[in-house]
Amino acid sequence: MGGITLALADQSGANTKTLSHPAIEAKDISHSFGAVKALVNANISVSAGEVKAIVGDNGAGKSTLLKILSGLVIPDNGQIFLDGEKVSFTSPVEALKSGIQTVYQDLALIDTMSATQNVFVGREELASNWFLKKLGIVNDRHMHQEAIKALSDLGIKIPSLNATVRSMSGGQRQCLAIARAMLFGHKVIILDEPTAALGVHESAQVLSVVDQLRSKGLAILIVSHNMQHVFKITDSITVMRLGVSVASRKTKDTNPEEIVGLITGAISG
Amino acid sequence: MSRLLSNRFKVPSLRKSADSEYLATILVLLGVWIFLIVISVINRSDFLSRATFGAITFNMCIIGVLAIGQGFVVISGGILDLSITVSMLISSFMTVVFYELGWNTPALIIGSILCAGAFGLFNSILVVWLKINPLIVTLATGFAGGGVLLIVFDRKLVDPKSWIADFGTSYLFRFPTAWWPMALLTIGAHFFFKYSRFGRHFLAVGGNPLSAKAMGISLKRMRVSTFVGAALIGGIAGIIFAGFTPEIRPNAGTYYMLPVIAAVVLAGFSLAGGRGSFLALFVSVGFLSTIPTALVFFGLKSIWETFIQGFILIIAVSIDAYRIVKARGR
Amino acid sequence: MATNPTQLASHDHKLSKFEMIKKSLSGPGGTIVIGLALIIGTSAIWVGKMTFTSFNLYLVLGYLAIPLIIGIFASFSLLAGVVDLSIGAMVALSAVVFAYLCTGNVNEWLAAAITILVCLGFGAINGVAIVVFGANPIAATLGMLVGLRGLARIISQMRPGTGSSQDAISLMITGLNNFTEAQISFMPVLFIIALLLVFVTQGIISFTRGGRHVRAVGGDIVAARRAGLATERIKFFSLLASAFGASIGGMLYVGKLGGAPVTLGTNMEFTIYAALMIGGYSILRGGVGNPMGGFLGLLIIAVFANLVDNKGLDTRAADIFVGFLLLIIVFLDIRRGGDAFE
Repeated sequence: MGGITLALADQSGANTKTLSHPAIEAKDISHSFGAVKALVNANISVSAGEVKAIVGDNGAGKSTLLKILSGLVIPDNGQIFLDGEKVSFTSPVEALKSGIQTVYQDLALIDTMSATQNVFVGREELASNWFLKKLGIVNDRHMHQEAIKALSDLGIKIPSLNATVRSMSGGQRQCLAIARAMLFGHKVIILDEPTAALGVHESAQVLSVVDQLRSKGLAILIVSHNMQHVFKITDSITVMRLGVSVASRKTKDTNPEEIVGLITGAISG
Repeated sequence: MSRLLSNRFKVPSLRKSADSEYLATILVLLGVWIFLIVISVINRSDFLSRATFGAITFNMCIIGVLAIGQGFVVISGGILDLSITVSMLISSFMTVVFYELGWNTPALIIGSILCAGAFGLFNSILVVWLKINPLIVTLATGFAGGGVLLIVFDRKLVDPKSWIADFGTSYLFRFPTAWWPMALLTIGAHFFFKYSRFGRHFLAVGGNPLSAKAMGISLKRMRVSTFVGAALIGGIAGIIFAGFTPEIRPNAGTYYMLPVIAAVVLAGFSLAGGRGSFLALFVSVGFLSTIPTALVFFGLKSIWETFIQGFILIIAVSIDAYRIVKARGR
Repeated sequence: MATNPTQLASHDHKLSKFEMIKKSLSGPGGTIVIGLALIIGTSAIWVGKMTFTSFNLYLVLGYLAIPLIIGIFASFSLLAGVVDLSIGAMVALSAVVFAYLCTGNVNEWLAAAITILVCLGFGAINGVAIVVFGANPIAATLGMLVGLRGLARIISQMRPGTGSSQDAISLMITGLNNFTEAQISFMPVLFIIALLLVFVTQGIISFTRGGRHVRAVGGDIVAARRAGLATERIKFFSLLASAFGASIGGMLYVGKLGGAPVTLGTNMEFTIYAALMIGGYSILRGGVGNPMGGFLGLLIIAVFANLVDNKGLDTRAADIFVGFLLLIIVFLDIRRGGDAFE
């Protein structure tokens, strides 16, 4: 496992950097919707190979922060660093291009298309032949192989990649969406409530996929309400309350009671 | 006193906001309508005449009644009834058939309207039990229905000396006699949807069918009522149509289809259902019915009418959609 | 896990031939094949040998060719999830504009170019209303339908005395007429071209990046936008495609009919969309359907129209048939798990 991590880190040429800089870091982010202050000087950082959870009550600013990191919302104030370099996104496409992949709750899978087509939508590989490439002909066979490789890498079992995703279970869809994010997200993957609508067995499947992603050296940010899942999978937890990131804890140094206390404000960070 | 009143109306804040939204639509439509009349009068002062008034109110009769039927479908979440003109024509043909059979007036009216209602029942069976989308159902039955009418009836002459033709040409209280059913239906529909429990159920089903179902409203019953109701209203329009035209042809419906949909969209009915005001519908019908007459006074041939109506519809739906997007993205 | 589809798939090989045929016939393709067989069978029994004469085949395929060309272009807008109801009126406008220009001594090629541009212009208005302002496609293109019908009539009347009737511009362009009437054996050349177009379109939507993107936009616009596709541009161009197809169709009709009646293409949008829906497209959601199915759907309608014609029945009988066929097909689709209403 460690070998894979090293290899991936080498490929991105960032292994030296990751030692000194987090994969993604947001500093002093503030944002208001009209008179409502959604975020006040919020901070968060995730290192490569780390799984971090953002927890907080409804309206704590989690989803706004998430939208800012994925380029959907442009913050009023604050800075975002990727591998120590300052970036600013004006659209989701820019965030995508810089290697931040977000998997939303609705998964954004296209029901009428197959699993492979969904994984590669918007980034279809073209045929290698010059003429076919000019015509825009896609290389389905290669994409299919890539998809199979990526899925088996993550230990995801999907019966038929050529069937439309409509017929798949919730867990399979979630895993597929995460696999897609992994294939194209070189640095950071953001998961919004990945286990919210899933049963026990399917949640376990998704969590094991997240575990695989960590071992591949990706930085993973999870928004979740499920304390049990958060403690099972994450390395560290950032608590948000009323738009402020009130505390960060290593998962192994804390317990659910403390986190719940921080969320409700019973304990001050 | 006025402050007292305004305070009283502030209390149910939700209803007030919905009403003020409709009021804005009504005022804008009235403004456009008056603007059209004013420029027509400036262009030719004889526009304000008894003949113009007659032409406009006659135009309003059928479009108005059909628009109420269509508005009923739209507001109840049935998307659109593209076969409502077939309901109308069924009733028109049956009116003549029953007249020729020598039926008395009430039996004739009820019989014709019920025949149209039977067609609506057929539509609703396809929608409710076969679960086919109403747009596809009414597209198909409207298309097939036209063919059936042609084969069964071909065309029918209305006896010019009959009471039916009389009804279509006479006046009552300065308005065409046929104008009154439309006016009464408008008022009826307004109060039905605003104050009756059954009307509220239609609004609920149109706004959010799933939550309406969760609240114990039977979706099936509402859908059947919607399409049968629309067809019955189409049937009323059919009797008026029989009074207006010397000869009923199966393709006569195509002329009405667009102005009716245009009127509903202009009046601010949401095609997604659950939203719309029948008073605004009345004003938009009035506005659209003024256009053909105004065109004549501007020296344009009547063929310009459809062209202008078509583009008014496109502009209206664009503005409406843009308003919604802006309100949401604010 | 008995329901594991991989196991099911491997199980498939053990199915007997009969079961395999039965299985494939229960699918959408099967419905079309059965429908086609039924209608041709009915025709063979009812009309007799005449059904299979080469002249009759020529008639059927000739009837089919131009609507097929129009339908194939319009299928792009269905695939992208924006139904364009104005295609029938666009055909009439194209024919009238083309005939108007040609009778005004404009060079035919130049006239054709101008006609295409005019139609694309109105297609662009559809696009602006639907894509930029977010108007409901059905309402907006219905408005365009009526507007263009009116416009076709207005233009037609600006050419007085050219036709025997007020409602048509008559004009015989010999070259174009010969082209539309040409045939290789029993196959009209126009039909062969249309069929090629079907195959090319099938290739585009199955194997090219652009086709994938159109399907993605129609399948789920939010997901497509998240994947970074230019959803707005794709919808806009799909509307231009349907306008382009209609403009070509209109001009071909001028050649075939020797004039431009303003009633040309009345209800054509209905027939074409019914055929495409038989082929698995939907006017309510995008992302589904394939051109081959659309072609077979149109073939069913054409064979039936031919049957009605040969028996000397009222042509509106075909409308009744198409209406009910559409309902049956959509119902079967729902039974197979397609989108049901509520």
